[in-house]
Formats: sequence, C-alpha cells, structure tokens
Amino acid sequence: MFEGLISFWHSIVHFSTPEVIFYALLSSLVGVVMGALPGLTATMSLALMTTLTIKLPHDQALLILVCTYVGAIYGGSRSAILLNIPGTPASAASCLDGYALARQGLAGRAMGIATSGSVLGTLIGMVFLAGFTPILGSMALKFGAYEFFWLALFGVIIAGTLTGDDPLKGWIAGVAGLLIAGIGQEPQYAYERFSYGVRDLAGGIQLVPALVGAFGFAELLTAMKERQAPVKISPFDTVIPRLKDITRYWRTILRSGLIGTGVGIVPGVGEDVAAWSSYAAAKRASKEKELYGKGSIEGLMAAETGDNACVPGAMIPVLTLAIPGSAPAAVLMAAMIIHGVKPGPLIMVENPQFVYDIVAMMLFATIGILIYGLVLTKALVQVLRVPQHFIVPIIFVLCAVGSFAISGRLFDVYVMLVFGLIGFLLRGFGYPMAPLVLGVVLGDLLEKNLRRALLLSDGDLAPFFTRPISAVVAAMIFGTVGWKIWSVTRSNKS
Amino acid sequence: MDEGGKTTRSDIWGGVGWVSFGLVILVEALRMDRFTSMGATIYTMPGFVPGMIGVVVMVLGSVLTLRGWRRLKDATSPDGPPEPILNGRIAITILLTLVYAGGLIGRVPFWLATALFVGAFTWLFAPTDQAVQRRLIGCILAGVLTSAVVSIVFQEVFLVRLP
Repeated sequence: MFEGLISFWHSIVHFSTPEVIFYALLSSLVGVVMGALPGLTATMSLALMTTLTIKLPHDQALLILVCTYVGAIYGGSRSAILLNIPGTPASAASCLDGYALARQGLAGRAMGIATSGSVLGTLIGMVFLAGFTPILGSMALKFGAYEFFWLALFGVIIAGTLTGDDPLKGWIAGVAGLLIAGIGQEPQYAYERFSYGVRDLAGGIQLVPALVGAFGFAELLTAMKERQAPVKISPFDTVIPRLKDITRYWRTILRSGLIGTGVGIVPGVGEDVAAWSSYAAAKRASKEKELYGKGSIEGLMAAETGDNACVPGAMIPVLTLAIPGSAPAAVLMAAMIIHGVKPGPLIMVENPQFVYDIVAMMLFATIGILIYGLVLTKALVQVLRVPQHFIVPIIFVLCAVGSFAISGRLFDVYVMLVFGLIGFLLRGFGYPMAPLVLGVVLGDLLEKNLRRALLLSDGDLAPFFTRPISAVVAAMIFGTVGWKIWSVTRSNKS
Repeated sequence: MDEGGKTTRSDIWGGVGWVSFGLVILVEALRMDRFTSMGATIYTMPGFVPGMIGVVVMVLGSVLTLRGWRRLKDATSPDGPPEPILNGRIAITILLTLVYAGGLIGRVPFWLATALFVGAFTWLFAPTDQAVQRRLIGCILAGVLTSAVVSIVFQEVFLVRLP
C-alpha cells in the first residue's frame, strides 16, 4: 500500500517539470478538441498522436497519448450537450440528458456536470488502476499459453458482441483482424505469409498506419457523406460545477465509477458500453426515473462518470495481460510497444514504476480537463463552428504524414489508404471497427499461444478446458456466443 | 435493415463473399511450406492458424448468408431501396485523397502537394453560395497555411522526416 503511494509520488515528481506539464496540458487540449469534433474519435486521435510523438522519449510520448485519450473521451461531451451529436461514441449516452438540459437553457450547468463526472470518474478509475494492477499482475504470472489464448479470443469475441448492432458481423470483423495480424513473417520459421513477393509486406502490416486508415480516413469519408448542417450552439450560463450536484448524487458517481472501471477491465469492450451501462444502472436505481431523457442531472452524471472511469480501467488489462480493454487502449498498447515498453504479466516484476507513471499521467490529464472544463469552455466550443471543408483535408494530411512518420516508408501511406477504404466499406455494411482493431492487436498473442499450448500438450485439447482459469474464460466465451445465438433465435421466433 | 449498405440482400452477398474469402485463405494456408524436414508438427506449421481462421471465416460467412436468406424468405414486405454507401461527395473525397496520398506525395515536394490538396478540397466542398472571391481566398489561405504549419511543426518540433 505505502510502497505504491511512494512509487506514485516518485512518478508525480518525475513528471513535474515545466516541459512535461506543458506537454500534458497541450495534449489534453488536443484530446478535448478532437473529442469535441463530431467524427473524430478517441481511437483516431490516439492513432494520429502516436505517429506525431514517435521521436519523443517514451515517457513523454506516452504522457501525451494518455492525456489525449482522457481529453478526447471528456471532449465528446461538449458536442453531445451543445449540438446533440456525440463527439465520440462514448458520449452518445450524454446526448440524452445533456442536450435536453441545454434546450432548457442549462447548457452551462450540463457541461459543469460533465466536467465533474469526468474528473471524478477518472479519479475513481485511477484508484483501481493503482490498486488492482499489482494484484492482477501477480495473478497473471500464473497464466500460461492456454489462458493467454483464451483471453485473446475473449477480447475479440466480446468486442464483436458488444460494440456493434450485429454480433455476427462483429465476430467476422474480429476474425478478419486476426487474419490481418497473420500477414508477414510468422514467428516460428520466419516464413512469409500472404506477402506474394512484396518486400514491404514481409514485415507485416504495421498496426498504426492500419488504425489511422480504419479509424481516421474511414471516419473522414463517413463524415463527408453529407453536407454539414449549419452549427447552432445553444447559449450557456456558468460552467462551474455545483457542489450540490456532486454531493446529492455521490452514490451514482461511485456506482458509475465502479461500473465504468469494471467495463474497462473487460477486454475489448470500451467507453461507450461503460457509459450506457452506468446510465442504465443509474436509471434503475434512481428515485427520479421520469426525468431520464428529459434533462436528468443524475443521468448525465452517470454517463460521464462511467465513460471516463473506463479509461483507467481499460489500462489495467493492457498493463497486466497485454490485452487492451478498449479500441483506444489497443492503440495506446501499440504505442507502448513501439516505444520499447513491454506491457504484460512481467511488468510488475521488470518495471513496476511504469504502472504508477501511467497513474500519474492520468492525474495530469485529469487536471488538464478540469482546467479546460472550467476556464476554456467558451473558447473551445468555437472549434465546433469550424466548417467541415477546412477540417477534413487537414486531418487527412495528418493521417498521411503520420503514417509515413512511423518508418519513413510510402508503403505505410498506401496501407493507410487501403485500410481506410476497406474500413469505410465495412462500416457501410454494418461491420464494427473495434473488433477488427482488437483482432489485429491480439492476433500475434493468440497465434503464438495457441501453437505453444498445442505443442506443450502434444495436440491434446483437454488442458484448454481443465485448467481452472482456462476453463472459466472458455466458459465465458462459449456462454457469450451461446447466449447471443439463443437470444437471436428467440427474437426471430417471437 | 436498410441503413447504408445494411440490407438483407447485402448480407447474403456479403456472406457469400466471406465464404469465398475464407476458402481462398484455407487454400493458401494449405499451400504454405510445412517445414516437416525441420521437425515441424501440424501445430507449428505456418499455415495452421491462418487455415483455422479461414475455416472460421467460412463458417461465419455461411451463417450470415443463411440468416439473410431466411430473413428474406420470412419478410412480409421486401427491402426498400438501400441508401447507397457511395455518393458524389464521397467519390470526390476518395479521388482527391488517392491523388494526394497515392500520387503526389513522394513525387512532388510535400509542401506543394499539401497546398494543392488542401486548396482543391476546400474549393470543391466550400458552400456554393459563397462569393467566388471569398471562396478563392479561403482555399488559398487554407492550402498555404496548412502546408506551412504541418511542414514546420513536423520537421522542427516533432523532428519527423516528411515524404
């Protein structure tokens, strides 16, 4: 306990330099702005920022990414409240009551609630990140190839189940991601798979250009589908959060923080599910259910607390298992690997300080969003007035330059283009992108551990189902798939 | 189910596409070197996991097709005409981005390629009710400023080499 606090203090001191504080505040601002702009998601912001920070020292680069992540999830609430358009999918639940409050002339109060909910949610998640990571890390040391195979598969399946409208298409997207991860030299014999003599493909598809394409370029194309309507921003009063709103709904805040963190820990789920789950739980327990959807302060507080608590929660499986809790966390994990940090079970043995560094980064990001939420709201919402035809080409230039910046190859720019077009088409046909990302990220882990496990057991499948943790995760996977099939069959019959 | 390309018919054809894709993957996986001379077992062969994934893609694609077919059969009213995935705005965006990222970058100086791309994009998508002079100034400013700021920030601040 005290060791953890001392390590956390060391991290705070390490990052308390003017340069780092400047980076933290700037990247939180970038995150808030990108999150606020409809069509630019946290995943896209992180993928872009990963490319921009490639030459920075790893601790500064990761600080920038963490601050962008927290900022983007928070920033989505601005457009949700003022325009009724969620800036990021995580803010969709905030539209219901946030915009209703804005229409009642309470947009400032709604933004104050969003700020306090987001700050408190991140703080609750941070406590669990600091407390749970060492415990889960020591448990993960006991995991073998069987467990890691199931966990990787679980991430893909659960992302496919929960992140789109159609689990079947989600699973297909996830499996397609696993296949993409298999392109290039395989780990055992360095045999080139699916490269067809293309030298650049032999090294495999780089994750970040693929993500910049699938999230960045594809999102831009989707945004360009329709001409942007004239932006009408609701006038708003003071954005200073009221203490009364926090003390009155402390149970909701605590519950939403716990739900958000819990959802974050589940591999592959993400902030939007955290927000909706927190909102639904708050509504069930509320004494003012009739206000939900009509401007409920409690509902908005629940959604905003839940999605931001999910951010630290999603970092827990990244750090301990190298399995991302959400799509943005998958990009962050890729960035860690690019910068030479190895997340996974050994992190608490080899580099325990890093866990507290991440907690400290979250704290800086929280301070950043608090400052912007209190001071800069009026200036920030002006960003929403910038016309689409100015923003889209600039973002695309960043997508192209960022993809090139990773390795200095034009090939990666073409990868970004191809993945953007594929991503756009898949979205159009209703295939969610989050499982695809999880598949690409987890493909290597899944393959290595499946082959290792089968080699260890000499082809015997029994250990996959008889080892206790393996059995539990396998049961969860089969349970999830079985439950979905059953519910679809039942709804078809009725 | 008629949003974007999400229709029952598109599911059926999508499923057929996935089955074909899975089959191609399976065949490719079977054609991969097996390294038996180096003591490889079936589990360590390079094609083992891709082959399995190919089979899973085929199974999921078949389910998608069968589901779509069943829904089509059970539907009391036919699918309405789906909203097309592509329209003129998206086609122009794709064309401009392909010309910029696939053609200009790496062949002409980055600053020029970027200024041309941003300028052209802004010109084409600016509201048509704007005065021509205002539109022109807007697109020149957007192109020149973006090109200058991105070049300076990437090269001088982030120390990133530009294409």
